[in-house]
Amino acid sequence: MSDGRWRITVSPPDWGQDHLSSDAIVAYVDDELDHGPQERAAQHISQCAECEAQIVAQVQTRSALRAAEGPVLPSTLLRNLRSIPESAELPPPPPGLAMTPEGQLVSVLRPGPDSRPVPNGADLRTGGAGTPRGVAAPRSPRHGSLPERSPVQRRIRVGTGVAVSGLALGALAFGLPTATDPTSPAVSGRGVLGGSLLGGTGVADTATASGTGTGAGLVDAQLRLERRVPLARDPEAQPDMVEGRLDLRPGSFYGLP
Amino acid sequence: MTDGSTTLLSGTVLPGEGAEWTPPSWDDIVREHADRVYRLAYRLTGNPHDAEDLTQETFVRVFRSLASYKPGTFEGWLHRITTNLFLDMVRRRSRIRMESLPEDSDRLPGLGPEPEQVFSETHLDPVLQAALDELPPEFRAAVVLCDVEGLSYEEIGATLGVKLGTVRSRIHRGRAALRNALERHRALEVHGVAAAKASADVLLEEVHG
Repeated sequence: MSDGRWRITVSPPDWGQDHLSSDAIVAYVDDELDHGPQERAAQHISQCAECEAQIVAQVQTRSALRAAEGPVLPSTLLRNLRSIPESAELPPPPPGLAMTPEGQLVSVLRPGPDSRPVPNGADLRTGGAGTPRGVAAPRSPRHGSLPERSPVQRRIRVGTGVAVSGLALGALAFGLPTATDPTSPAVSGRGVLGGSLLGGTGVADTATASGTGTGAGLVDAQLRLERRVPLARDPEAQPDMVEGRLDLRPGSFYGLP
Repeated sequence: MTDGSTTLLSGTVLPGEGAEWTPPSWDDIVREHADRVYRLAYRLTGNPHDAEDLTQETFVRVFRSLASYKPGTFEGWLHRITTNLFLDMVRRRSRIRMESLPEDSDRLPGLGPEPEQVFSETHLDPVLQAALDELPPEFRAAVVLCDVEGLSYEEIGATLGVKLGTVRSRIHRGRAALRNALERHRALEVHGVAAAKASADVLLEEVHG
């Protein structure tokens, strides 16, 4: 045994026993390696049946997925998607854009800073529509009195928005009943819109948990959409948690337990 | 006109910026992207009902925040919304399952409708979808984004909010698991067909014999 210890230093490394890491294998298959590593991997594969077999397995599985025929979009779904502008409650279009009755987005001339044809509240809502900072903006009455926002204020608002939407999402992740505020008449509206048809917030969750199933969710949601929910409360009651997260940094939320 | 919509769809111009920018109609957007979103939703959820819900919800989100759409590709934005809504849905359902195990567990992740049902409704390869459904959702999402949607590792990382190393390992392990599941399902199928044929032969013999 002591002999062996001495010989190790002399004998050349046995390259045949080395294999590509699984990371290298998958990246090789998807052509995600840099040129140099790609060459080296190719050279290794040509001599190593084991790694080659893994490559083949990955390629075959990928091909099976690629070759599979895609589902055909149901025509009823297409109709529903097209009618979203008629059925979905949403904040008014942002400055510079307007929606025609046909659902066409059109550019409008930006109003001068002094003319202010839009009430403050609406202006704020628009500014925040769908953006993460919109979650925080309506909560702060000060913003309503600011005709112009300096870059600094803007940054602050962005920061607050991130924190708020993060908290809200955290609450969702922990299963806290974020939608159970009994004082808000828009709660049911949020279940329909802000929450998802897949059972987004408290309302839909209960429905699913009680065994109603999500299949009914779509119809239910559509029915309720026809009843107008108070739009004024929407931006506040309806944090765009998903968009907020998506637009910003999806990664930061995956750290949550 | 078409130039205007492609500009937005490829995401190089901010809405509201530049006088020449012509926003696409909602119909344009739906026509251009609905198939793709539905296909992704279908591969992720594994059944047409959830796929429809997920697609609808994705487009509602898109519509509501279209105005605040930020630079980046429109497709990437759709991928992010669809995938993350799906993962939210899965997490919510698994939480429900843990809290109050319902009797009708057939809509829970990993327990989609029977392959025959999928086939009869969509004519999609039922074995493939059944094998996909067995993958843990995060792995399924990575594999589908890579192999069905053709996204790069970097794009997948951005969509799922994970590092490149995680993307690599999810795809590698996801494909390996998928391959095992495919082989198992195919073996089952062959076995099932053989068994059915055998019993049919027996029946025929009985009838004629």
